[in-house]
Amino acid sequence: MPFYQKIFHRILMIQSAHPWRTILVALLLAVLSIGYTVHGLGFLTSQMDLISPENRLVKLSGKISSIDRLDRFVVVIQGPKDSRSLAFLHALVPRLGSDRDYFEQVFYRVNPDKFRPWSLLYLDHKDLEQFRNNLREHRQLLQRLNRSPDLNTFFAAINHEMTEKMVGELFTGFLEKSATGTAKKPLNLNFLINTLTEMRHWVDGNRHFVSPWKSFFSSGEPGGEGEEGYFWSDHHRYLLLFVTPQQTSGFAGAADSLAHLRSTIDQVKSGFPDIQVGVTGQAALDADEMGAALSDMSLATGLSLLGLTLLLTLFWRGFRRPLLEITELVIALSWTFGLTTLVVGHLNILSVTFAPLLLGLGIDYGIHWFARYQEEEERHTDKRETIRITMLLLGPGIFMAGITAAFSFFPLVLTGFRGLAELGIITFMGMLMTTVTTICVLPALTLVFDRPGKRALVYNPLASPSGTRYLLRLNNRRAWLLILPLLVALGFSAWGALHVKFDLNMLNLQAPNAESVVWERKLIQGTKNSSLYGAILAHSLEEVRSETAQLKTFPAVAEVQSIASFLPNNQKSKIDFLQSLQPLISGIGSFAPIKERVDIDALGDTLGRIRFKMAKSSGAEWGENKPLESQMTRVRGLIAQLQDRFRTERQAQLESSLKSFQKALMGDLSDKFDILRQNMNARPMVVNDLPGSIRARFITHEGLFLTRIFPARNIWEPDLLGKFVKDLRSVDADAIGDPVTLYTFTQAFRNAALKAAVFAVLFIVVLLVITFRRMADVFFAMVPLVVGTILTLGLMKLFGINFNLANSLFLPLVVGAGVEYGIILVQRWRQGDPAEQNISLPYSTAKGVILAGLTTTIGFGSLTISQHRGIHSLGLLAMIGSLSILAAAVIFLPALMQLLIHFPRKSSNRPPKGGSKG
Amino acid sequence: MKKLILVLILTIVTLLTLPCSGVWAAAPTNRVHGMLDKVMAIQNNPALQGEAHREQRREAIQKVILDNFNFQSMAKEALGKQWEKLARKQRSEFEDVFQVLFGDSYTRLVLNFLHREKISYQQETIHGKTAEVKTTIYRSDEEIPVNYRLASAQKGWLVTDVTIDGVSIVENYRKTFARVIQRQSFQSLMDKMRLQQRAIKKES
Repeated sequence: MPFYQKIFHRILMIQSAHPWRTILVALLLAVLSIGYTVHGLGFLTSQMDLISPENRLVKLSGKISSIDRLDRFVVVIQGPKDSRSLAFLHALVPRLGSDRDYFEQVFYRVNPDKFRPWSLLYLDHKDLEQFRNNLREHRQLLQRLNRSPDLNTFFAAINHEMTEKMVGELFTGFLEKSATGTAKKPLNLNFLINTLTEMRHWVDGNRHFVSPWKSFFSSGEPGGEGEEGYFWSDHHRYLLLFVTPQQTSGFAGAADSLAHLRSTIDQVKSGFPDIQVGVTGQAALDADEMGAALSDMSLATGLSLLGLTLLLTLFWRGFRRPLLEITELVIALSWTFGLTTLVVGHLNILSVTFAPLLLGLGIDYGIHWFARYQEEEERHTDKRETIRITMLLLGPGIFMAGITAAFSFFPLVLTGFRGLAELGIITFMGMLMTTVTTICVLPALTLVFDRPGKRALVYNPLASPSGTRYLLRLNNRRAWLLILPLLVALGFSAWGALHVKFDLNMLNLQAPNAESVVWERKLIQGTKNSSLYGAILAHSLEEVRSETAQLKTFPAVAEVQSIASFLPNNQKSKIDFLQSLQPLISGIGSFAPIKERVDIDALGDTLGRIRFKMAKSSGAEWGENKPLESQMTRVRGLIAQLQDRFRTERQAQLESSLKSFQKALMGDLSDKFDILRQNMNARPMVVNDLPGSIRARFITHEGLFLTRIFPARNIWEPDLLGKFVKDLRSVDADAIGDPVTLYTFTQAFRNAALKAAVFAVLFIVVLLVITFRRMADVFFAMVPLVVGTILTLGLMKLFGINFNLANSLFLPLVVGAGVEYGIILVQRWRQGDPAEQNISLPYSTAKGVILAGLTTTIGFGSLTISQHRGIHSLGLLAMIGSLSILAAAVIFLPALMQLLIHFPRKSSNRPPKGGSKG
Repeated sequence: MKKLILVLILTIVTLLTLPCSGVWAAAPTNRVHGMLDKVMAIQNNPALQGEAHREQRREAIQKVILDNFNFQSMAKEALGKQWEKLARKQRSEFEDVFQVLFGDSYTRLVLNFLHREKISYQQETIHGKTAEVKTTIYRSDEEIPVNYRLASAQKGWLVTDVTIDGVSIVENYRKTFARVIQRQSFQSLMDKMRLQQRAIKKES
């Protein structure tokens, strides 16, 4: 008996002597492994975790860790009106702010009061000039209000201004034409409209003050009291707030925080049915991705087990043997989880798929075992003898196939890509464990629990006189008939393979209906902001400004934020300009006390006179100053509504509303003048004047200044991402941030996946050469893999499937399985009759290979249920790949071998009955 | 007998001279009332309705305005202190131009502004040779006050200013003319006024 057969014989003897002990030890180890895993296994969700910690990008990113950990969740609020969005935000913020167990910080607003002394310095020069012109134009009105700050004076002054304009245009308008003779701009009634609107709201009982003064002093829209300082996207489409979760380790903590955040949002949202809200941001994207993957993988593992059990039941025509195989497989899987926890310590978004993969790949050995066992059952009546023969004949093959398959994953470790390396280690260990359990546990299970099996339904009329049944018996003619169509298919596939593309867009991999993905897409589509941004660090404010100027020249850059963004520019010249306005407000001192009453009759009368001027027939009197027809209509309408209220409301209530509005309006005007005076006397604003919440987000603990660069385009598209990162790096080679990580990751991953495939194939070839020591056998063993892969690429082109960052893993995954079929078939052929001139495929071997192929397909196919589109596409492609490789193994390989049959073979290795031989 | 003839002669002379003295001339309110009635009659004359008759209405209204306004007084007041610096010829020229411009503007105001409005007349106030007549123009639910300032002249009470909702037309002229003169010159003002005058003549 050869040495290796002696080893297998010894292993079997131990199991035969103590079958129950063997089984119990195996089960105990499985239980301990699961327990250890439950307590000890972590999850890494970030893309950075997939890259080596020694990677330069990872190290650089550590510099902004103090900032990066902030605002990890972005809550996006969409409401029918700004006020509703703000109301929701104000209802949500206290709930989050008080929940210190989960949330460290809630950043939703920069208090504008902090900026009061410099608020006017944020206006550009054009706006400041407009401000000056408005001050000049309305000086009389302001002086009147200064002396008598009340609604009657206010509207009387407005009316007077309007009348002056009308009369002036009619009688002396020809003198006011510009030097170029161009038409004047129409009189803008925005301020009047805003004030009337606001007054109507107050009369209706709505006491939320929206100051119209902004539209008086500049061209800005009215700003609500406290509507400033919030984080709005473009055109106020979305309102954003940023949540920093409490520092937790690992995915479970992050997922928990995210779930709690969403739950709190749902509770608040029940009072705001008109509000739409979602959570996104890189942390949410990572957590959702991992959460979806974990959930899907649990389901996929269950489905895979179920599918395998059903398939095996169908093949073995009974439940017993499938259950024994599944039991052995589950033990192997449990041991693998334990080893993973011990050796690696965590799963990542790549390695989380290992369980269903392992089920599909690892079941093969049990299938081969029972296939051969069933064949030997027909020759021997004694169960122990049958097991012994099976072990001696098949054990080495299984061992070699298992080791080969295990080591086929090992090249993933050599890619240097941490995510793939860990997947490689875990699947390597997994394949070893399934090999070990097949050899060391399955025989014991068979001995204790198995009963004689039924004869196979399929009867091969070409069964040889020796009693061996065959699935396929070839001659040259039949071989050509089989191989020619396949060669044609191969040709087309090879052509198709050249046209398969690589989709590097990572957002396309995620579950499309994951909340974080939905809202990230909304942010990208609806605004110029993604929740992702690039980052550059600078040592000084001057450096920040210089880099910002450079970055803003790139079309790929939408916005650049830094601490400098929060400081006004050209402060000195603006302060000088504001000081030059002093004469314009010289007659405006502290505002007189606001009156306690409103003369409603006089007010109504004044409003009537304003409305008179807004009549259509009055239009001509305005001349070139004529306001827009729509504005005039609006004013008429508002005044009509107010006059109606004056008539119908209870006087006491009406007066109360108007007094409150008067107080708010005049108080606000007085406040605006206080701000103006403060700004006139301001010193230039410096970094330390900014609120701490802003400084914390733009200055690291080491005093480096962070610049955030938001992309102008959809950077989830690889070309645009590449352009954006290139632009960033042209300014600073050490640029970091999520887009840079994404870019680096996608490039590195794609290269690593390709490298892994190449390494896997090379590794296998070397292993096969060492094992077979004959190049012909190496060649034949590789045929199913090579042919199957080409066919797969052709099918990808046919079905319009592209490679992406997930499914590009399929090749290293199927290498082991692909070669395994070749090894089994070549081994079986070598064990056959040396005199036989034609290639035959014994039924037992064919059944084993086909069943192995189908179970691998089920194992991979279970991944297709995943909502995560990356995992889904991996499952789909691997499924197609396994079937292609299977077809290549059972059809193409025998036919090819038949046509190349003149290679010499060794004599049969079949052991003598009852004991070892020589 | 002689006494009787003397009284008769005196009475006849008095009666003949009364219209010239202005004593029996229209009171300020009557003047304004009469002017506005004529204007309204023109505006509401069925034979002069529509755009086709706008020019006819314009001419008729302008005639009414020319009969009822004291342009010399208005021109002087509109120019303010600058008036004192002008030579007689300049003043005369300014008056002429001013009359055309004001007449045209006010005519346009009436043409576009007054149609079927109701006008109410409040108590007039007379201070020596000046008077003020307050009116209110009503249009559906709204109203605006329009006050007329008149001065007594040979032809009787003539309008020297109109204040529309608190804004005096003459005051407007004064401020605007002063601004132009200050920024540029009186000559520049005259040039612009003549240009406008030519434009008006061209249109009519």
